[in-house]
Order: sequence, then structure tokens, then C-alpha cells
Amino acid sequence: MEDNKEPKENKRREFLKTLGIIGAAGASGAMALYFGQQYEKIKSGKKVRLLTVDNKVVEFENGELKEFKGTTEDFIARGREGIPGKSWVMVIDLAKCRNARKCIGACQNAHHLRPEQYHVNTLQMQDSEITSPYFMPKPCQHCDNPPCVSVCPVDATFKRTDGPVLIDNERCIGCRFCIAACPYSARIFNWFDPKDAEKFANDPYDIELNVPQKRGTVSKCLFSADRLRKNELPYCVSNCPNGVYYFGDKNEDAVTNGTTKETVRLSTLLKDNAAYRLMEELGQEPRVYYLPPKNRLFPFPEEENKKDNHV
Amino acid sequence: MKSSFILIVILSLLGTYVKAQTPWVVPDDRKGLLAPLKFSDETRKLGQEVFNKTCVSCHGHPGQPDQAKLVPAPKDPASKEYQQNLDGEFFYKITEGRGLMPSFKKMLKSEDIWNVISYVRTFNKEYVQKVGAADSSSGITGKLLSKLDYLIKDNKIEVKVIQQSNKMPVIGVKLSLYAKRNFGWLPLDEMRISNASGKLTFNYPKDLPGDKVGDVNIKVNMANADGTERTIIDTIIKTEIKCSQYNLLDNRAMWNVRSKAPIWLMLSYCGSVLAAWGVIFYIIWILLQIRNKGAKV
Amino acid sequence: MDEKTKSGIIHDILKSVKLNNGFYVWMAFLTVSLVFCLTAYYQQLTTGLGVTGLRDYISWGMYISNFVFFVASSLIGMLISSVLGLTGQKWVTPITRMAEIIAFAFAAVAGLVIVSDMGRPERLLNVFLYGRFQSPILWDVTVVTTYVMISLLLFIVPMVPDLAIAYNNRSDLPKWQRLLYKLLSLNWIGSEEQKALLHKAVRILLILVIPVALAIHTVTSWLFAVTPRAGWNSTIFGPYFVTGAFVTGVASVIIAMYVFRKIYHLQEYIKDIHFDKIGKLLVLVSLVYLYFNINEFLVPGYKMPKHEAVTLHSLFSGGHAIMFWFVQLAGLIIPIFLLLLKKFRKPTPLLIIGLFVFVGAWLKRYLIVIPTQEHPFLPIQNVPESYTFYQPTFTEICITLASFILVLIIVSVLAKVFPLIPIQETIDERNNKTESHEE
Repeated sequence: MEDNKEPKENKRREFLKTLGIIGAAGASGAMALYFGQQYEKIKSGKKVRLLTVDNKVVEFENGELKEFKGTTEDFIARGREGIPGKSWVMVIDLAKCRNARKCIGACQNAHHLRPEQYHVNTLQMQDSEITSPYFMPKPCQHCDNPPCVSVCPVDATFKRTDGPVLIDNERCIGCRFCIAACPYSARIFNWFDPKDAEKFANDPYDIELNVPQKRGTVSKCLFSADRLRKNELPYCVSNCPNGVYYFGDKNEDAVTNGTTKETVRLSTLLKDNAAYRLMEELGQEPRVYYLPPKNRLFPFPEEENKKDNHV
Repeated sequence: MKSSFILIVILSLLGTYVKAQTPWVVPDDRKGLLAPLKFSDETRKLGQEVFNKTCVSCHGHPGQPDQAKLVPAPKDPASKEYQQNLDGEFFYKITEGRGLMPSFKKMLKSEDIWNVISYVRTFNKEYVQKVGAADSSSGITGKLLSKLDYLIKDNKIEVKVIQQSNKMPVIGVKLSLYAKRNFGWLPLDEMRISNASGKLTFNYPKDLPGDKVGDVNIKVNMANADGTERTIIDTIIKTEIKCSQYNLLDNRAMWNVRSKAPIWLMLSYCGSVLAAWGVIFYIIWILLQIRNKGAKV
Repeated sequence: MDEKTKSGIIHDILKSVKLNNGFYVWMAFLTVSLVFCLTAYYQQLTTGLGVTGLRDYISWGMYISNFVFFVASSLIGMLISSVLGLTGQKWVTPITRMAEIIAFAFAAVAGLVIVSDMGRPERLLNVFLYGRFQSPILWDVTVVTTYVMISLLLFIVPMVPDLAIAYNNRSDLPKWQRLLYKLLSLNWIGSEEQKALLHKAVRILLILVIPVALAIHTVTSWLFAVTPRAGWNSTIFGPYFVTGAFVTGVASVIIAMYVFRKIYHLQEYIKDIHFDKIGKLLVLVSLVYLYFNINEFLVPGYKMPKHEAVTLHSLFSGGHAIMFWFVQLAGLIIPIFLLLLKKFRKPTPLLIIGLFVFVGAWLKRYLIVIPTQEHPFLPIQNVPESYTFYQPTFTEICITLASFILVLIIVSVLAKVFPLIPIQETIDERNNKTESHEE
């Protein structure tokens, strides 16, 4: 238990250190109240005093106070680091997908995407004429040998120690080489001003969420790095109603189903279900594993087979 | 030949149909389970929240024909057929699940499940609730019996179950062992039942990675009468399997950051740039010489 | 004609350097067109790259294919002055400077073309600040810059004696032009010492330009070949692009030769024999290119692997078939056969063939870039219809036209302000010829 707490404490301390200004009191009103009483001499009901990390008490007008989430620079510095000791992987059970598209909705909502912009897209697949059709959710595969990162001229897209491939849209020059290089068509581009651009224009840029999106830069699935930072399952994973997604840490050999919250051994799950990875032959070492669409749980809408534009 | 084949096909299809429609029989000991709390407006409100988050995507809105088109079809909670279930049957079906209906044992707390039942009962005007007794197992606790600071050597974890009040061993308690992982608890062994001296032994997997020093946070859960579980032990054990500390980004690679580019690549880039521009500057120097030679005359 | 005196040659060649009304009208026309086209770029800057026909799946289009074409055209400088010059082909003398102008103009504008394709052109500096050695783009930017510099030097350095001649012979020119000549002629007096130094500088440049030119187009081909996509995932893309570049470049020099001969009245210097020779050169480079084409299409076409097959079908018999067969037949195969006949190597037929090859070469780049992206490994689904194919928009075409106008401006200005035919070399060669006659 203690062991579990400690990294959290450390993270928190580090976080505060980097933020540099508002201290622990920012979160806990109790501390503020305490100092408020201590410095009773200065009579002013509107002022709020907070303790900084270097033990100074600073005073603010109450109305000016709002939650401080961090600056763009802090987010980028932290986001490029990765979460130590982790190695995130995803498992997608094709037998369970019935194209509910809840993963897509949650993802587009979190990342401020337009309806035609996908970080994860559910494709209707059919490998050959008489084999069975199936639905395949396709997020970024977060390859360990990512061709998109190899070709980036400016280190804008990068691989993190814990696995995800992220994109820094403060750095991206918009050359779209990564889009050309990705065999999974996982990347998108902000051809116009992003959705609700004015609304979020002044927000600090969170590299782990890639929000606010920026015109003229590339965007992509991030394995919901912002959620992982909070030890929560990615948006798509936790919003699937059908138990399609498993997500977890390869180092712990365990993945958790986003719907049932059931935790299973990764190695057993992959072994028992003859898991595979997309286009293994290209050698990009994806981090997304697929369980074959055997004994599909949902009937396939037949009329949709006809407009299949699989190539 | 052909007709018999068709017959077999029809029969087997019929078989799957029948199988899909087999009545969902709830064991007798679980059927009569009653909610330990009185349904109220508050439980109904909380239940509605859970229902809208968890159940609506398949069961639809009660009384409306918006259930998901699945086989077998999810039932409308407002329907008569649905409301025939006893409270205990509901509780069993929600906790255990079957086929497309997921098991909610791990996702919802038992209060939540009761709240949902209290909510769906609002669509049954004839329903009158019978309140059950509070759980009697709350006084039971357990402890690990392994020695050496819980260092797992022989891959066994021995547990003793006792009554908290009088420290007497408890017989016949069902326990399960879990290890903490990032997003949930991983079941490690099958459910075991305590023997006459209140003891039981779990098999601990040989190859389960711990953290970077090999520590694993485990918990032991006791099965309640209603099918839900309660944690009686939550502790850290030491194992010899440390999790991989391999850092992907340590190696020089084409996909790595600029400073981690392959050495030969950096050298060829810098070398060719220096060579080409060196020659260009040499040419410019020659041109300046030409200029000087002309100026002297 | 060979007996033409030194002063006669100087007079003929320097006739064109004075800016005349025709030139002003032409430049005014180009400038107005350029400004019009640049309003399209302004629109792209303010609205985003969405004004183009590009979308998430086909995200490289006309700009990139145009960039490849420009890089290809710029390679001609290296072929004409360096490869042919160093191997002692005397007939190239009158067209070397023309080739260098074309090389410089296309290479310089290629750099701008690539900026027009960027979503965030204001972050261009990032490429130098954070440039990754692993990305072909850093190599491309570096090598294009280097090549522009070398082309510029290869244009100016051999011209030094000519500039001194021009300065001494045309005192009637405006002040700025004389000042420009004086500055660039580097106090040239034609002493043995200066000649030796100049000869050395030119030799080094001619050798240096060969690897850099090969690098510029090989690296450009790697923009495609380093990706795993079907149709780009090819090991012969480097030489395939380089040989294609020679075809393009020779065609553009043929066009330039014809046009300048006509408007500058250079019939005495660019003769029918030069057209005959360069016609033969076009056959040679086209044959080499044809060989690479056969390799590029026949090998995957024989096996027809799943994803390659889709792209190949779209080229051979699908949506791109008309363009593909036009490029292969009218831009490559038919010119080869026609140019084997002497009568087609006369200026006018050669110009027409050259124009076909030129247009075919541009379309060829389009066919290399676009069809592959229309057929990614995974199906294109759940997106608007317009995402599944590529159709250049008016804005995009305007911006592409702007790049051509810029090339025309650079070529026109350089060919006007400076002597287009090497004067000193022409004189020297004729002297040598007379001497050898006397012997």
C-alpha cells in the first residue's frame, strides 16, 4: 500500500514544483482558511491567501482566482516524459464489436474533433469474398517501430517511454509526411480551423490531450495519455458498451476490460484467443492486439455489405 | 441424403434458437434474496443514474421501444415479462450475467445494483417491496499465514478466516485472491473454501510480474450471500519477479529523437554537409583570389 | 560563318542584354499574373490548407508532385554542363548557361513550392532548429539549399570573363547594369594566373555538382520510398527519379533553346546541329527512363500483390488510365521512336515533341504521388465522399501556376540581364578550330 502511495506523492510534489506558484493550498481550502486566520490583521474579506511551495504566503483578489491547470510549456515538458515503468497496450476483441461507435463519440468529444475526424474509426472489414465480414475499431497502433515518427523532420511527433506516440502541435510544421508514412491511415490533419476554435483559443495546450487543436497541424490518437496520467482508462476503452476494448500495462502482464472492468492476464488472453496484430509483416511492432472475430456476438447488417469499399 | 442434410441443418438451427431462449434459471438459494434496504425516492434516483449510464444502451428507456436489436432481444424493463422476476432473481442476473448480458459483479457495488432494481420497479404499479435482513457476515476477517514477510517462495498463499469478535476460525467461507494491476484487480486463483480450522491455501502464479522491486499488492475477497464480495485482506507481498525496466528509448533508432539518431547517420549528414559547403567556401575563396590578382595590376 | 570576328561574336551575343520594351511588357504581364495567383496563396494562409482538394487520406497532391517536377527539372544543369562538359562534348557550349539558368530557377522555386504545401509555413525555421537527421525532409532541405548555391555559382563563375567583356564593350548600358557587371567580373583581366584559378574553380564545381544533384533527387524520391505504402515502397525509386529528371530537364532545355534562339536571333550560335544533338540526347535519356519504367511496373505487375494490384489497376485500366497511357505513350515511347528519325530532330518538330515530353513529365509526377494514396492498406470509410479521391481546386492550381510564373520571371531576368551564350568560350573554341585548321 505504502509503495503504491509513494509514486503518487512524488508525482504530486514534482507537479507542484514545476508549477512553481500556487502550492498545496490551491487544492485544499482548509490550508487557505488556516492562513486566513493567521493573518487576521489585514482585514479584507475579498482577499484569499495561498501558500506557495517556497513557503511564502501570497494574496489574491478572490474574483481573480481560478483553477490553475498548468501552462503549455509545463504540459509539453511533462507530456514528452511519459509515465515511468509503464508500457501501455490495447487489446481489441473483434468478436464483440457491433459498431455502436460510442468509442468514436467519446474520443471526438474529448479531443474536440469534427464528426468526420477520427482518432479511432470503426471499419467494416471483409478479408476476402466468402470470408465473414466484421467490424474493426482502428485506433493508432502506437507502433514500437513507428514509420510516422521516423519521417518527422522536427521531432513534433515522438515515441514515449511508456509506449504511446504523441504529437506536439506547437512544434508541428504541417508537412504531413507522417500521414503519408502511416500504413494504418491513423493520422488526421486540421485542414481548417478546428471545431470551436475561438472557444478554446486561450486555453493552454495540453499535449497529452492534443487540445486545443490547431489549424495546419496533424492530430492523432494518443492512447488518452491525459487519462493514463490520472490512472484512468482511455476514453474509447471506458465508453465501449460491448466489452470490445482491453487496456493495460504490458509490464504487469494485465489488461482491464473497459466495459466489465474485468482484469485478465494479457499473455493468457492473447494466447487463448490467437491474437494478432495488424499488418505484422510490415514490422512496425504495433501495440494494439486484435482478437479474431470468431463467434461474433452480433449479426452483421447484410444490406451494408454491398457498399463495402474495402480495397 | 440431401433432405437429411437439410433436416440436420434445421434441427441444429432450432437447437441454437432453443438454446438462446432457454429460460434463465436462478438457483433457489439466490432467488429469495431481498434488498437489505428500503427502496425510497433516493434509491430510485440513484438507480436511475446508474441505469442511464450502464443499462440504457441495450435495454433502452423503460416503456419505449428503443431496445438494442440483438439476439436474443434485451427486454424492456417496463414489460410484464421482465417485471415477473423476483428481486433476488434480478440481483442474480445483474451480478452474474449471461451471453450478451454482461456480469456487473465487478463494475457495480451491491448498493448500486439494489438501487437499479428499485428504479426499474417504479414501472410496476403492483410491486410491493419486502425488505431483507442486513448481511451477517460483516464481522468476519482474515489474515495471511505465510512466513518470511509474505515472501512468495513456493507459490502458495495461506489464509486464515476468523470471527473478529471472538477470534474463532470460521468454516466454509468462500474466498478469492486478487492482485492489483493498473486499472483493476486481477483474479489469481479459483474460489477456495475455508476448512475446519478456518484455513485455506491459494496457488499464486509463478510468473506474475510485481513492481520494479517485485512487490505485489494483493487482496482476498470473501463472497457474500448475495453473490457480491467484500475485501478482508489487502496487503503487499514480496515476490522475486520484477517488472521489466526496459526503456524503449535507450536505443538509437530511426524513430527515436534527434539526439538518439544512429551515429552513422549523424556522421554522414554532418560529413556531407561540411564537405559540400567546405568546397563551396573554397570556391568563393578562389573567386576572391581572382579578384585580388586583377586588382594588383 | 566561322570566320566571324571576335568583335562580331561579342556584338551578336551582347545584343540582347539591354532591357527593351518587349521585356518590360513581358515582365509586367508575369508580375500581374503572379500577384493574381498569390492572392490564392493569401486565401490558403488565412483559411488553411482546406482550400485545396487535399484531405486526410490523399494528403499530398499537386504541390508535392509539382515540387518533385521542379527538382527533376533542375537536374539538367548537372547533366549538360557537368556530365557532357567534363566528357568533352563541345557542342553543349552554347546551351550550358541556359541549362544553368533553368537549373537555378527550378531549384530555387522548388524550395518555395514545398513551403506552399506546409500547414504552418511560419514554423519553417523549426526544420533548422529541431531538424532530425532521420527525416528525409531535413536532407531534402539541406541538399536543395546546397544545390541552389552550387547552381548559382555554376552560372556566375564561368561567366566572369564574359562579364568583363560585357563591361568593356557596352558602355551604353544603364548604370546599375554596368555596376553589376563590374562587381561580378572580379577585376577580370584575363591573365594566365586568373585563367588558371578560374579553370580550377569551374572544374571543382563541375565535379561537386554531380553528387549533390544525384543526392537532391534521390532524397526527393526517398520522401516516398521510405514509407511502407504500396506503389511507393520501391527500391529503384532513386535511379527511377534521377533518370526521369534528365528527360524532364532535356525537354525544358529544348523549349528554352527554341524560344531564346527565336527572340534573341541566335541562329548563328544555336544551330540545327545543336537541336539534332540534343534530340539524340533526349532519346538516350528517355530509353534509360523507359528501362526503369518497365522495371517499376512490370515487376509488381507480374506478381500483383494485393495492395500494389489495386494501384496498378487504377493506373492501367482504372480512373487514372487515360493520363497514365498519355504519359507513357505521348511523353515517352512515341517521342523515342520519332526522334530516331533525323527529320524530327529539326527545331520545330523537336519543340513540339519537347512540349509533349514536358507536359507528360509533369503528369508523371502527379501519377507517382496521388494514386498510391487513394488506395491505402485499410479501407477509407465513414468520411465524406470527397475524402476518397483527389481533385485539385482552383486555388491550388493558381498557387501551382504561381510557381511556374516565378520560374519564368527568374529565367527571363537572368537570360536578359546576362549574356546568354558564353562569349569567351565561343571565341576560344573558334580560335582553336582555326588553329587546328592552320596546322
